[in-house]
Amino acid sequence: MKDKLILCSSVTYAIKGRDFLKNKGIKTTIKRPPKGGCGCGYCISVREKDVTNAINYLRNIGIAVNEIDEIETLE
Amino acid sequence: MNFGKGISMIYLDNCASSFPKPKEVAKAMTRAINVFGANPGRSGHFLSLYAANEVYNCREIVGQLFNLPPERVIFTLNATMAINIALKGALLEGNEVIVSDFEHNAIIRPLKALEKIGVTYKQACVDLYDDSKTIKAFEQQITNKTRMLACTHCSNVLGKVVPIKQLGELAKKRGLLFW
Repeated sequence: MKDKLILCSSVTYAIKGRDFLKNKGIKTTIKRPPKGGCGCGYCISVREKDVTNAINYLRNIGIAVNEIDEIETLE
Repeated sequence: MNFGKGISMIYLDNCASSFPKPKEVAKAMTRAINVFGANPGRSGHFLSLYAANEVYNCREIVGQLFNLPPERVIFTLNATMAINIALKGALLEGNEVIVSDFEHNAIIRPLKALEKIGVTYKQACVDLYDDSKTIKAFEQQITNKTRMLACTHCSNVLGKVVPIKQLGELAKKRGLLFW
């Protein structure tokens, strides 16, 4: 199974996004970006099927989505 | 307060710094140091994220107090630093600030320093007994150069509470920053 990583500019925005998405019923976790060079950036990890909705929700509450990455999960 | 050997004290310097600090403060600080004192914004391990969540919870609570979203809260080392950031961040050459005549050096000194770049300030007299006179004193000082009204909530010397709600409404009505 693949998860999508949505890169936010800081842990503050990542937590804000995580809490908002959780309230919308989207399962999330927060991780540091797998690649270096992201400075203070943190990722919100969501299931592939939820990524479009998640990005739209995040943009609607003013969270800039800088980049989308992909990781393999064990599930 | 009892210091042993018959030495006791009644602390009367709360205008300078409150003492004893509330037990809740000591408890929260102890918990932060002993339980989750990791880097809250740059690492990816469990404790770092735990600390980040604690900081975010604090942002939310402070944000609710000031009617702000959590990401608009900036933590500073102390009130003096916060005042310096606010004044130096908001004021430009030609701006004028109206402050109360109760202000602490923490606000007067940065304003004095800002005079070098063309910021000016004026003081409005706070009436100890009639808040409407205080509001009027501020209103009369407003000119087309005024950018901000700034005042303490309560004098640390006299204990007088300044009518900040009405001053905030005045600032909003006149399109000014209120701080």
